[in-house]
Amino acid sequence: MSSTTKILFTIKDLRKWFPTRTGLLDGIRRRQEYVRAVDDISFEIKQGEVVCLVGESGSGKTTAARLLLRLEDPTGGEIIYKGKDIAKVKERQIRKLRRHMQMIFQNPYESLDPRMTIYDVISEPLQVTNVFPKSETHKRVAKALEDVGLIPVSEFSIRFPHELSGGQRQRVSIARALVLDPEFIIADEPASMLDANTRIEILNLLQDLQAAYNMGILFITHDLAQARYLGHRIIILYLGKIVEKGNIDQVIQNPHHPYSKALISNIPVPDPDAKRERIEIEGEIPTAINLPPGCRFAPRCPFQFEKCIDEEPELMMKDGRYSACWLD
Amino acid sequence: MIMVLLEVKNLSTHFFLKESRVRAVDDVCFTIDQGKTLGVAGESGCGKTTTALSIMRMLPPAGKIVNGEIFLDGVDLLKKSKEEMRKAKWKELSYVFQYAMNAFNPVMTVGEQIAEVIIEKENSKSKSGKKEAWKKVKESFEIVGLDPDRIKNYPHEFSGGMKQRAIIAMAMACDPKLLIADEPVTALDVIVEKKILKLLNEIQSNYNLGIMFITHDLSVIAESCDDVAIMYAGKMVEVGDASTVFHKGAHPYTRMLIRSFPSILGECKRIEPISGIPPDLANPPPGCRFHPRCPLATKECRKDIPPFEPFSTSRHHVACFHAGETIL
Repeated sequence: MSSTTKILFTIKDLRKWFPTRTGLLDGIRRRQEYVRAVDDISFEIKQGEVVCLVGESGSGKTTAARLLLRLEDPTGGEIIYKGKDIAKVKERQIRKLRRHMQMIFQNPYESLDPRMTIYDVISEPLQVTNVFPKSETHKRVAKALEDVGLIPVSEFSIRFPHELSGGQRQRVSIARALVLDPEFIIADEPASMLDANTRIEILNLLQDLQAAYNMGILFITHDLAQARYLGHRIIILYLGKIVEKGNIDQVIQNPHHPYSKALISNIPVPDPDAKRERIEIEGEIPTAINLPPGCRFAPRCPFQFEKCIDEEPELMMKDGRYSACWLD
Repeated sequence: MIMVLLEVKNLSTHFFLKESRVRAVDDVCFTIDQGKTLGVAGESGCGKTTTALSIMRMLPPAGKIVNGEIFLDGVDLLKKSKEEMRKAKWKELSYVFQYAMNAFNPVMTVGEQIAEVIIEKENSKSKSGKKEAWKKVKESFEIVGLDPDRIKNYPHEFSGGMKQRAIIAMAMACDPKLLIADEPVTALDVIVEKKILKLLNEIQSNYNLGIMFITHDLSVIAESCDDVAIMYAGKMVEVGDASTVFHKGAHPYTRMLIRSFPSILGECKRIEPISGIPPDLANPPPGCRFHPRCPLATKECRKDIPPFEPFSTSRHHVACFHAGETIL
């Protein structure tokens, strides 16, 4: 990918803090606490690029994605989409933009309306957005179904979601996202609920469609093996902060941040004789309320020292990738 | 001297539906040695869970064991009366269900729920018996690495990893010889997953426990199992020690399945999925059930059922006429 490629999204210091529910007394004393789900993250997504957002549950991956589509309103920061900050624009204007950005959800058993035929499911975005002439609807739905390999189209159009397998349903979700010719797709764990073989089919399909339509994809997953298979760049999140970002092969082969190291060294690999060095970390990811002043990972980090507890490290560039660690 | 703990011989479990008979498990044979883990893998619907439920004699009403013997420590479980079987559960063999960690009763403390099992199974309803049971609850918490002071906590106060530990504590509370764990790490994050796998390994070597580990994720099996059994469409297609199956797997299905897992090690190449879908078990194809999807299939495969025979060593069994042949 050349450096002249068009930038789709520039995210600057994006922040989403959710207020926690407080009692009456706390309200009077003005003691409001926040869950810092996404806390000042910055990154870019270029056209035709697959960026993987990786982290454990509770790291803020899904919230970050929802902010990009403005399904949530950010607490702060900028979301610059093709030169325009959409972080604060009104809902009506956002609606017009959303046809360019679509989402594929994790669970194909829950994301399709059981009472709609496949044709209805896929044509609904066209009716809602109303950007293409009505006469094209049939052609566009057929094209989307063909693109995702649900052929013969006439046969699949009239079916209901319950008549399809998990993999076929996920293809329907992809077709629904594709039907508006988006420039950008967010895929939230699109293959994680599926069997190994179906998973590869879906990942291959996304790879082919991405190349054919030169789309930007934000691929959200907790599975680094899937991320590596599909992605060009990777962003690793921990408690709402980016701990490391860069070229995916570089980061996976030689992670800098201790959290990335721990995450990568604990991924199971399909080889019982593989000898790997493991980095063990204590405990589980805490909630993002009452965070310590220093590095968020310090309480679990096997390499922590004084500075980590006192001061929060910034994302710094080193050897072509960014990481936020005092050791780096 | 290795002792065989569980021996399953020619097990067939069929579901009798209104109009059809689904051959969910068909003529399956395998053994689990004392202190060893057998990983059972295959796509969803291949009969992994039905095999486990048959061993526990916990099949839903439509499911019937039509043939076979299941010996646990030399005793045929299928010859036991319902009452004898009820007594054996948890004491002789216990079962960690898929998503069991979400099945805790939310209005009882975790400790109470484990104590309930012990009091019921040890028949210790007297005051001293109950005291003894609570002592055991504390011990079981220690075994699985939970703080014994937390026995009075409610399930919602536990994280996902802790709930999974508590479920294992419950399964271990009455010192069973065999533990069947159905997808015990599937919903967990990478680092927690690794910790639970390590915990199972520790418990196993401390208590000489036999484990049947069911999962669709071959990487997890490679990480944690001594032996591997691969199932396809209700049939056992290959059994052997992990190293042999992963590196010298002889059944084409085994090799194609292993290949369909993206890895974070080695080169990142495009993976071609296995074409087609698993057969309808109400009406399985004649001959080898894998032949419609198999690149090596010949006339023989379409006609005759391949026998499940020793292949490279006496412990390595394969059911294929073309075992070990190269796939192009």
